[in-house]
Amino acid sequence: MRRRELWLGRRLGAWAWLLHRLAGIVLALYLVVHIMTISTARFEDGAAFDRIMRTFNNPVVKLLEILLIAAVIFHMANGFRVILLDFVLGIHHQKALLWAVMGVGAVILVAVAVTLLPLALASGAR
Amino acid sequence: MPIDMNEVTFKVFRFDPEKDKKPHWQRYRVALRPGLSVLEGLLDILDHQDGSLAFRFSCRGAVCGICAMYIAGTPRLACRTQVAELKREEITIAPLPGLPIIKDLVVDMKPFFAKYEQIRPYFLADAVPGEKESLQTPQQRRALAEYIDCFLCGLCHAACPVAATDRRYLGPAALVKAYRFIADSRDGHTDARLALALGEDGLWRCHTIFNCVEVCPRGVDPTHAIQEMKRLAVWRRLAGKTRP
Ligand code: SF4
Ligand code: FES
Repeated sequence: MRRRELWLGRRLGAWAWLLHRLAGIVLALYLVVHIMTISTARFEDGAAFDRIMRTFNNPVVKLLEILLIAAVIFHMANGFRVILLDFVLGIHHQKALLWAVMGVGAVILVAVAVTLLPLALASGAR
Repeated sequence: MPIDMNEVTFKVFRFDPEKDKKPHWQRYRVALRPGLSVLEGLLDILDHQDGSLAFRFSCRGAVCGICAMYIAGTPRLACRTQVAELKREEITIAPLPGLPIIKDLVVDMKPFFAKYEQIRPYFLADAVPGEKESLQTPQQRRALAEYIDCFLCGLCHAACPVAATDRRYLGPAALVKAYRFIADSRDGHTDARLALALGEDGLWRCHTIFNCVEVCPRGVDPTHAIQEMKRLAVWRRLAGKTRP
């Protein structure tokens, strides 16, 4: 008999690792849906694609898009951190490194949000 | 937490494979006194409340590394953990995860040491033993400083999510030892040692989670050692010094 335990203990490195994987799974699933969606452009001379795009044109989907981009940014930013660590750069400063890449990521996310939010609000009006 | 607390509860994992079908938790009240460590608390229980409780200890001073257990949700040394510093009324104490439980808080360390032996933790020097001393400059010694202090307590192995999910993963302790010899100017078997540390269950399994660094009571940095070996393995392969 053994005890099983996954120790996360609120340590930053472990959370970054876990979130990285979760974001990766979300992105992989999104990619499947995305490819399926754009593949519909082959049918009915594109009318099917237009129909789907119209159903996607609502505030909820736009907000989900912002969340999706948040996942992309997290995966990208932490991925950059992991690459640096693989070159043994900043190995004793992994937490500071995480905050740094998260800071850059947050700036990008804010830029994305201020661009997309007006679109999200406008899409509801149609 | 009330500061004037004079007693705490130890919630201890109990399992006796000879008697119990499943483990259970048992609660003990332990009187606080200044400087009380978790190990001393357990000894108080053993002496005055329950002689059947099993746990390991030896040096009582963070020198031997034998009292590793899961204390209040974190892998720690019992003798080095101050009860007051945990700031909890109830303290859960469990054996290290991932290793077979012999009784209560005592785990079978054999799987852990089998991994350690896999990396051949001794000099593979070619010199005839005893013929001459292998001297090191202070700089050469300093190259080992970050890795040499490991006393094989197993806390890092218990804290590693990869080791928790892949029983064959060599784990931080064995890998840090592998690098300790690579970094040693007296060894000089870098490629043979890398070959031992690579492989299916070796260093590429490390996802730089840093849990091992968080829990190591000796200030050893296993992640640094593992990353150095990854980099070394890639360069030596690219330079054509090793084959796949
Ligand atoms: S590296 Fe640290 S935590 Fe791991 S076995 Fe050695 S002393 Fe214990
Ligand atoms: S009893 Fe030796 S390290 Fe705790």
